[in-house]
Amino acid sequence: MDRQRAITVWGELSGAIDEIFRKNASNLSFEHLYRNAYNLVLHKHAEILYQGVQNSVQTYLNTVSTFVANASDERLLEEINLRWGEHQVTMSMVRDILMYMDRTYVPQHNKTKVYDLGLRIFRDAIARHPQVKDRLRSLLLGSIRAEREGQLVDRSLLRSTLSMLMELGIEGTAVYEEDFEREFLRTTRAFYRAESLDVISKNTCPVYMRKAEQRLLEEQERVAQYLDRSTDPKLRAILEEELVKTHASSLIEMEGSGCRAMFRDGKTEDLERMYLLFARVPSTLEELRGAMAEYVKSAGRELVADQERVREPVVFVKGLLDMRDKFDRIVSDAFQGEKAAQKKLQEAFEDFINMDTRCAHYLALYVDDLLKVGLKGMTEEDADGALSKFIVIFKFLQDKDVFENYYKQHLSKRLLGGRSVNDEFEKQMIVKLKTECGYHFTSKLEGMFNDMRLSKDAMEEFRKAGVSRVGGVELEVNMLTMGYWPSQALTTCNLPPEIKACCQVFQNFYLNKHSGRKVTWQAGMGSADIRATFGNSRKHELNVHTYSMCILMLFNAADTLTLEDIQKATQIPENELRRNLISLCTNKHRILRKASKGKGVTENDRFTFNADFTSKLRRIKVPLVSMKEAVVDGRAGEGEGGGGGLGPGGERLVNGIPAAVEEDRRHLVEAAIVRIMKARRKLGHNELIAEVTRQLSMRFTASPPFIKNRIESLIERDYLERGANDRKTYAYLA
Amino acid sequence: MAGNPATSNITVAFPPHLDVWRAAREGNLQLLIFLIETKGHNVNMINEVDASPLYYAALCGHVDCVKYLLLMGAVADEGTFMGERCFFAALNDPLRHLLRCSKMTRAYREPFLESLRFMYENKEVWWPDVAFVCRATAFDPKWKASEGVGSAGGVQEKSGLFCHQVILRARSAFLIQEFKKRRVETRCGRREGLGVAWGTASSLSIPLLHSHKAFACILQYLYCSRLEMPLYLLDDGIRISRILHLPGLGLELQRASDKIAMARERGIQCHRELKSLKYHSSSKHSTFYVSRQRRQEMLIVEPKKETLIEHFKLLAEEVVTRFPEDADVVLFTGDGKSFALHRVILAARSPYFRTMLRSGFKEGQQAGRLIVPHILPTMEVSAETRIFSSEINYKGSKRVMGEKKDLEKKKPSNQDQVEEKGANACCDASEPQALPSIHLSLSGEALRRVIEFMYCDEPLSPLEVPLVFDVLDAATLFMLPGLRNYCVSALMEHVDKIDIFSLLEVARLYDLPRLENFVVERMAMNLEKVVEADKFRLLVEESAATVKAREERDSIPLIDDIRYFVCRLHRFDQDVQEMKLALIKILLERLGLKI
Repeated sequence: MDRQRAITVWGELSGAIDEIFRKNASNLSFEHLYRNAYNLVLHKHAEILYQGVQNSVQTYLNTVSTFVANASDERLLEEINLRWGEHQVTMSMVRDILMYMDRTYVPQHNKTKVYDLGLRIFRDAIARHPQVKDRLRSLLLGSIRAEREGQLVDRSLLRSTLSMLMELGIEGTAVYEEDFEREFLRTTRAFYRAESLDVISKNTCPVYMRKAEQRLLEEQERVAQYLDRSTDPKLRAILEEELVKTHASSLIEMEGSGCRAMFRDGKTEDLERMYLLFARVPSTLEELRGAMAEYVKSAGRELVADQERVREPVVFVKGLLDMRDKFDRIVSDAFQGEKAAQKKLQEAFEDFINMDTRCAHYLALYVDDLLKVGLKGMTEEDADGALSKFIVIFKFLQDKDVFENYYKQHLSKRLLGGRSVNDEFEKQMIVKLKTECGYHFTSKLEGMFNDMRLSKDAMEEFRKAGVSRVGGVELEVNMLTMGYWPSQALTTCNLPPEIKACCQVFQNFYLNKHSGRKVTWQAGMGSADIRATFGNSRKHELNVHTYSMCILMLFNAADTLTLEDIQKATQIPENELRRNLISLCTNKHRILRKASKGKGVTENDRFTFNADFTSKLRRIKVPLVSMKEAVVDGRAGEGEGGGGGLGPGGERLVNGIPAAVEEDRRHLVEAAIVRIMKARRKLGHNELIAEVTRQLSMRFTASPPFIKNRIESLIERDYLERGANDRKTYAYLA
Repeated sequence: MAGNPATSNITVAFPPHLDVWRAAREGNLQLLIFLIETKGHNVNMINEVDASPLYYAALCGHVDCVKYLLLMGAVADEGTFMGERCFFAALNDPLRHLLRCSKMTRAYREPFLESLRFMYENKEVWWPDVAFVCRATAFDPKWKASEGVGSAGGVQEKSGLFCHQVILRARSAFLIQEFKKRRVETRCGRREGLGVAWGTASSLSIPLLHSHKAFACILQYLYCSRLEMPLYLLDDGIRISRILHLPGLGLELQRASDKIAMARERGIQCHRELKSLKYHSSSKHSTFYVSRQRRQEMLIVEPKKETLIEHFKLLAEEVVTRFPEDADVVLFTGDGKSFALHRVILAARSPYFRTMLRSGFKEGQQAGRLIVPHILPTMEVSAETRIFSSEINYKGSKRVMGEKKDLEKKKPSNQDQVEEKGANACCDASEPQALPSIHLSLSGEALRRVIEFMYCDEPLSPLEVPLVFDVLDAATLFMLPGLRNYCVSALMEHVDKIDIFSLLEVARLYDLPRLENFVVERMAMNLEKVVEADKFRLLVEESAATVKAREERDSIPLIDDIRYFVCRLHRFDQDVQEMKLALIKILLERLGLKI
């Protein structure tokens, strides 16, 4: 086959290709055309064929391009789409007949495949025609803008046009990116920057968020509908930045409708929306969590401060529980139970609860109230629920030993006074504390219960022995093991002789059974029922504190007594004495008459038996006034120097911690240090501190200066010594 | 030697002595791919020292090449000379491991098996002509839910398994009978214009639990000869293969099932241990092993090409001697012969036909149309009691008929031709009338070879000398590299009957490096005679002219090649070598060419 023949064959083929362009292909024979093309390639005339095809396509598309370029703006997209569709069909037919060339000549000579050649020509002749390129882009962008503004646009047209741009890139996205995407992203950014500013300035936070959410959905749909998938991450990044990131802090802090308001009003739905929105940009999520923690802290502090005023621990803890419930719900519903948010929430609670030790006290008071009154008439399950709820709050508490201290005091009062609602509930509470804080925490509390049980048995025996009644006085004794019960200064007083005789009987009885024990009498913790006869032989039964009983017994002998007389006769510590006297002189229970005016008791006060005392009840309980009243009045101005002061319960405080607890802590820390050093022999200062803190974290947070203090004390006592070379290490001395 | 193989890419014309072995030895993967896929070199071709490309690749430690060669179906069986040789020659243990594991992927891309896989994967769109409809029953609600098929009664719309009768009947004697029975009945129905259902008489019963899944596995086996069956389906598979009269498969499945049962009894559960039981090479038909895929333990049956080819040889013999009843296209040749064939096979085997049948040209418009699946005759696979019962949608079949009639009207000349040549094809002439036709301009004999090759991967009829050129041209046109290889072999065999210079021309025209090497070697062998021929002088001058702007010292490619072969052929006979080289020198001096 010579060149001449080749050119004629090409002429024939060229005619056929023109027919294809005229859409008359169905009359052409594939076999014939393919064989012609095959022969050309086989006889090394592929060059003619390739060039020829390129020229034909070029010429044809040049004529097409004039049509397209002259189309009006409204018609342009449709025109291009039409032409593109035609081009695809015709080029695939051309490719079919030139398949042999595509498979042999093209790869061997590093040419472009025929179909791709067609794409390239189409791109240059039509898509990038000077009269088309910019118009095409602005039309596309215009349509998208129109759609963003709520108008209806022909999405299928957009989709096919954009996919055309994609395909024109030939195994790449260059055309799509250069001719459309870059500008599209720019306009998108501008559009949303303006819109978001506008919306946020005119609307509340929830409205903005709803709008942003909707916009994000719309754009996502846009990608799915007609943009290329590769645009998705870029578009999303822009949207997230413009709609979420830039405005995150202003949304959180928005006056009246921002996060504060949502947290305050428990707007879970809005918060969820906010969370989902912010979750797109993880850095903003941290802000949101921060805002929550901030709100919880401030609300918590407010709660603590309120408490300062109203002194209503039950209300306080209830508020705390409500808050806890509310935020639990918010985290689980709105924040999808996110771990980080849960942690943040916990930190916030811990923050304000551990601000000072008052909370520990309030919590103890709350439980006291629960066990005395709150759980009355509840089923076991309800009670369990209530206690569990409390434990949740209790978990936040760091100074658990302070709580324990108060709890012990309250418990002792409840046990001795028999004021618990139900022993079962008490035990439940102990079990809960045990699971939370471990065996050591509750061992003493359990010891107290044990004492109560043993006492009961012992009293039964005592009564059976038939010696319990001495001189018409029935004695009821509770045996308290030293150490289990809140330590109290050993307060002796002169009991009336009748009582003393009783005590003696019991003491003998008890020591007979348990030799080697020592019995001390804690009059300060007891009470007595006495029968009193007032004027007109009105008889009342009075339930009073042991001390009051002692005082009253004095009035069997005299009608009027001075403070000094009473003091001498009873040997009651002065504080207690004044307290008991005031209790006996209150308006409600004016059993004694006080000479002085006012609430307090003056130095030389005189007390007279009030025979005119009346009451509707036969049996009267005379409660003790609270310690504070008695003290403030009587001892105003007495030293409150140094770090010491008086706690809410009247105990002395050291650094805001009850003295007893402080004392305990000292021992605990020292024990821990010795324990650790014994095991390690040698340890650096920082490691030691860290280890001690870790070991004690179940009970309280030990501050480094405190631990250091203890270490020094141990060094003084030759338990430890500083390292010879390194002063920062300690060695254990056996 | 010209050409730097390291930088060679396919745009460079490779020197003739760059061969597959050398490519494998040098680890030139790109060249190897080019030679095997574009030039059609046989993967397992051995050279003068009986070494295969795989041997060289393994010897020199080119992992990529070894992988590629294995993928292309290089043989490295245990216990064979070639396999053990590769194994012992392998450079390191990872390569040995690779060779040992090769059975898993062996021959997956072997062209014939590949086209079978194509057919299987595209069976829904490539003109299926039968549909198996799995009908769920109340007994097996799970199946219903998972497959979504089986509304009560009627022909299923799209949920059937669409297949090609031709493939299935080639593989299962039972299905030949089934299809035939139905076809006869259908034809009767057509003639009388009555709605007679397709052979309801032939319903069979086997209670199966997972029959649809097992059946799909068996279908894959029928198509590709590769079975991937989850172990829990084994029993169903055995039953189905019994029904379809596939004794070989049934036997193998039974054996595998027994072995697994034995293994299980011994408490072997995990697949690793099962695998170590080595089911493979348990028979001459196929290779078995258990593998874990998609969290299921699968029994894999690797195809052994030989049995498969036997089946397709029968089919090929059938289609070249008579019109098969399930043919759906007729090819007319330039010299007036015709063959009724199956579009799916043409499309799967030759890119030419694939493009033609789907293109928008005349042939595609007429012959490439897909009969819409829902009007196919359907066979029903039921899980309950019957495995097959069939129905035909008469509305649909009428439409098919209608289309065909239209075609006949459009092309009356077709009919004439068919009637004229019908006897030639020894079949009843009424059938091909109705079929779409394609006209090809090549001889009937050549087309026959092509068809044979397409149907069974091997030209059954001999490739004699003048004909082989036609076949070679057709093979190139239809893009059948395998057939080109057969042609080259035939040409090399008949080299004495052909003018050596025209053979060189053919080799160059059709880009056949193997043939070209062979011819040049021949020339070197018979150099005394060759240098006398005028044609040779012309060739040398032409070759010299190809080097543009020749200078004194430039070489002439053809002479270089001949010198190479002279040296190689007579490397032990210095005298002959020098004599021949002198002959060349004299010739060159006579031509006025200097080197």
